[in-house]
Amino acid sequence: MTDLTRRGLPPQFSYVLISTLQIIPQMQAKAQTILSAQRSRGLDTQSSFIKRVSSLIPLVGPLVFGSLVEVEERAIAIEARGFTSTHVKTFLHEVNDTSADQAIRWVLIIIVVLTLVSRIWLS
Amino acid sequence: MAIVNLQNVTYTYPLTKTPALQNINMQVNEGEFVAVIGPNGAGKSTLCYTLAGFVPHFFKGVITGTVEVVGQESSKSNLHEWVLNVGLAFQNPFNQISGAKYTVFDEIAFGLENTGVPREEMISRVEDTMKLTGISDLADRSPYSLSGGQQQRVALTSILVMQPKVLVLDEPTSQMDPIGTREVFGVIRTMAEKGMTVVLVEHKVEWIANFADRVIAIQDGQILLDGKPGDVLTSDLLVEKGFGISRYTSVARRAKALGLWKREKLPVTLDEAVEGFDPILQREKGVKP
Repeated sequence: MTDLTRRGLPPQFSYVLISTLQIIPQMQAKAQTILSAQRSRGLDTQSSFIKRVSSLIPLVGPLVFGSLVEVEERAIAIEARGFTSTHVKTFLHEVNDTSADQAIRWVLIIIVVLTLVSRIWLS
Repeated sequence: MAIVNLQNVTYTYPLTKTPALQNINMQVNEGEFVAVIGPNGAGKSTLCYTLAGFVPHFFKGVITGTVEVVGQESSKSNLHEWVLNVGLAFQNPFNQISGAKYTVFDEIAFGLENTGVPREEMISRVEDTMKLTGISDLADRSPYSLSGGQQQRVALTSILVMQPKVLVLDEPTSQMDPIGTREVFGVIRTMAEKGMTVVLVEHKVEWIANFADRVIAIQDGQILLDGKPGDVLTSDLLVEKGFGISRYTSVARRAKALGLWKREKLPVTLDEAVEGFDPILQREKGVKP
């Protein structure tokens, strides 16, 4: 991802991809917390199927709206750290583009070209 | 010289009628450590957002008056330039984790990557700042696996590493134990002595009394009191208006009502209280301070 950003992918795009991966487990944990909180107040989550499905409804509201509220704070937090800065970005991790990397890249390109050629000419 | 200068600032959030800040006049000198106290909903966080440029650039709404920091005017500046001068850390540590980094070290470097700090300098700055805030041992942990107090330290470190001229902190120790609080206050004090200007919103009045140079009390979006911690925090007005005061002040107030507290000034810290009560305790047989 770092390398794609360095090669010109907008940082907003890579941020969305990476943060989504990180936030899924956090959302799961939060859903669990909301569920426990509602269970402790008597929500039925263990009887018939229909009751269990209907008990999901009070879970979705707090989870979705809570996440939307959090988005604002997170936006402030990353903005405070210069996310939209117009400076040319630098990177903590260097990604070395070794000759092996380059060779593999060329091999992959050739394979793609050959596949296309074979589909068009040999079918 | 005043590095922060607010003149007649009134601000109203979008879709609301009553202003969150009313006619705020406030100057802060370079290297000064100012604490802001006030009840919930007094406008403390709005004041922080205003200093950090998020009011009005992020929240929109209507602002009048002038906000000047380091000689620049907020309304004529861009948020992405403003944040280089004014650093903001706020209360909820969880939402301050960027979510784009897998280790604490990378998390702290995030702001430096964004603002184009060269790699070698970035690494040494991150290492030094982590040492300062005492989180070097967390460097390789995931920011999400930390406790609330640890996350708050990471959030504070992430802002300190950017070396802003003015540091705005909105309850940065709310999830910390007393030892953590003391360490963080120590760090903030050190930064102020090195010349960083600090505006800190905090409820822990005893800590403020020990560390801050000045205290501003706000209520209903207006400045109620502004002065030395020893004067502001012992003011009768605070009690009248329902502010939380130090337990040492409360005890001494009662003692004063009973004629036991002989000094003119009420104490804010433990040391001041012990000093003031010492003669009384000496008189009473068998009771030692």
